[in-house]
Amino acid sequence: MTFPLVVLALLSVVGGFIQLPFSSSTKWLEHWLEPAMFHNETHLHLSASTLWILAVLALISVGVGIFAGFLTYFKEKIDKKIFEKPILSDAWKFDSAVSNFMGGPGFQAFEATAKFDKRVIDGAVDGTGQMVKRTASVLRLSQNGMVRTYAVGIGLGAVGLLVWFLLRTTI
Amino acid sequence: MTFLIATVSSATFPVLPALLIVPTAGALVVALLPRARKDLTKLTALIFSTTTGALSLWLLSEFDSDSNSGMFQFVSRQSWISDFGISWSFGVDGISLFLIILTGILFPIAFLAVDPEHNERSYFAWMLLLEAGVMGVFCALDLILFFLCFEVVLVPMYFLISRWGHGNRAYAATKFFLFTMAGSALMLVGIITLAFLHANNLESSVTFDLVEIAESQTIAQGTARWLFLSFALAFAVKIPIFPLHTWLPDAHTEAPTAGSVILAGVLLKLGTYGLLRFGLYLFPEASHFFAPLFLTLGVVGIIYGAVVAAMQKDLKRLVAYSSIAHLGFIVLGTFALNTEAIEGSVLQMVNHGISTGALFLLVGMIYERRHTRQIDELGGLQHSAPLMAAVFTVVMLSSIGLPGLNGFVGEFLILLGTFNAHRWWAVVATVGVVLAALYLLWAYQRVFHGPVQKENAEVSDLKTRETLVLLPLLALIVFLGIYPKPVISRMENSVKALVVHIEEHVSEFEEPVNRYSKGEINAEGSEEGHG
Repeated sequence: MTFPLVVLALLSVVGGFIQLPFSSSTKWLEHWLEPAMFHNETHLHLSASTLWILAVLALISVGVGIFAGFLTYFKEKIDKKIFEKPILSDAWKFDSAVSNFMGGPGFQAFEATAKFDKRVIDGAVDGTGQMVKRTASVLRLSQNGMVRTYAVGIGLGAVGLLVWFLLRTTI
Repeated sequence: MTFLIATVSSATFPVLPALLIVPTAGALVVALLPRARKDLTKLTALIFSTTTGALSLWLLSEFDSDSNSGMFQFVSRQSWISDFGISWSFGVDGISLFLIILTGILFPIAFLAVDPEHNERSYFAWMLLLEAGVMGVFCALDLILFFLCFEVVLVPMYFLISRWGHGNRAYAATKFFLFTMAGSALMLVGIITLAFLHANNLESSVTFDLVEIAESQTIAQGTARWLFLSFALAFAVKIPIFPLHTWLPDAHTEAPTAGSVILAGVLLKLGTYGLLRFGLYLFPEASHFFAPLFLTLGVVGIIYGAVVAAMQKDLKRLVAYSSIAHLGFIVLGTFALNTEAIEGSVLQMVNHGISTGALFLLVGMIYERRHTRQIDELGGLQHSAPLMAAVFTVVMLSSIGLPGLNGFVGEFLILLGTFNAHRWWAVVATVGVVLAALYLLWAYQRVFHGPVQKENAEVSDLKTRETLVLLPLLALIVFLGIYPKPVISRMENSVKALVVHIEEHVSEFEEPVNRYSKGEINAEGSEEGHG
């Protein structure tokens, strides 16, 4: 575990250096995404004094944190139980909440959607295919290749036409 | 009436027809090779496809990104069926340029990566014909020529799936063919109606010229909306947009590896490209009118595709469903109708081609070694194939949209543009980014992490050839992630011209842009200009 931490520590120095707040040309991180930002960048204009106050405040809070850590773990003057709350060791219970959701209701909802896709949406597509097949299997009975069947069809059609014609002309 | 074409003179060498003719000639040559010379098949196919790729790269170097304000370049036209005003006309602009290059690059890679198991000659002949068809779609400026190429693509793909595919290939191929045919049949009716109505309204002879019809906008509003739908349906099936997507998981899963790469990498873009060129450009008013519908379907596709992808047990099917989610982003960006979002969409078409192409290659390599794609039969592969695991990680992170890799830039532009136009659609779509991380990381974890079981322990790592094939894709993933400017700047003029075209032809429509950056904070937010 030591080695990855050393790597991360070194990289954190890089992280600080790619966005030095002294001039526009040292803010590499800020300009990195410019081609993707277009005119959507919104600049927050702060006066120099505000910037200094914020910087000093940030450094003070860092100092306080380090000092508190020093007193607690090095000098053991502060009881470490004040900081080591169970909810913190559980990382605000974030991980377990996600796991519980994805292991339970989340998973079921996902599974239901996948079933919906397979049964309903894909089912409708395959169903259309089945419907065509079934309709065809009935319709094809009329195409049996027997001359007499076709003759009956023609005869029925002729009679039908004749009836229709007579109905139209006489009434 | 302005004729953009008239003002553009192009290089003397007809490079665009060549993009169509070289692979077609290649298909013929490969098909006619003597049966005894099996060794020549792949080499010939590679020569023709790399020539096409080289031509597309030459196009990139010659493309003029500054002047011409986004007009078509390299325009080449020959009268073809002059009685009906059908011409053999080609042109390229910033929108189609990178899709042509993507096609030019992906085909040789797909050829190099995988050898067919049998019938090499017909396999490579179909592949080259497929490339010709795709190139034709991206270059065509004539509606009939476009339709012809759009349809020609189906035939090689049908045979590639049905002859070289996996288990359920006959079902998948038929489903793919019928689905897409049904979609595009109406488009043919739409094309013919459009051309004849246009000629009627102008009392001129019939023409199928895209630029002429799009620039003059003579069709009545109601009719144009119906015609738009006839085009949009064909594209919606091709993309595919929810709920017309079910051909995709079957076709992708059953297709041979190279087929899946091309299907996801290039073929799906025929639909999204069609929406831009033959939707927004040809029918600006109708596109604006139907935008809410497509935005909603885009968002539904993003969430739905991701959720269903997460539940897949077959790794290839998972990647296939992820395409539905990714293409949902592209549809969303297209119908946000502003420059950022449309540029993001075009960029994302290229990005998706690269990253999903690479994912399908990797899944194919896993299948070749283990003869299974079932996620629960795999596991611990990073012990036996660490290099493959590393490459998979980068490609997967690109697909998720990690900043620094290509997928991020496209997705971010789409979300940014959509946010400026339709805030809530963008907010919901952002959930899709999280879901993409969920299904891909979870799949990675199950396939590559964990204890390595017996058969997975003997999996060999990437071979030299496989590494070489993946390397250009990896390079593009990183390059486009860090420095997308060369791509964006070349498409910018054309996308802006398209947005201006929409503004001109849609009354009371103004490009939805970010009002905050101008310092005016508008309480009504995104609703402005979309009443």
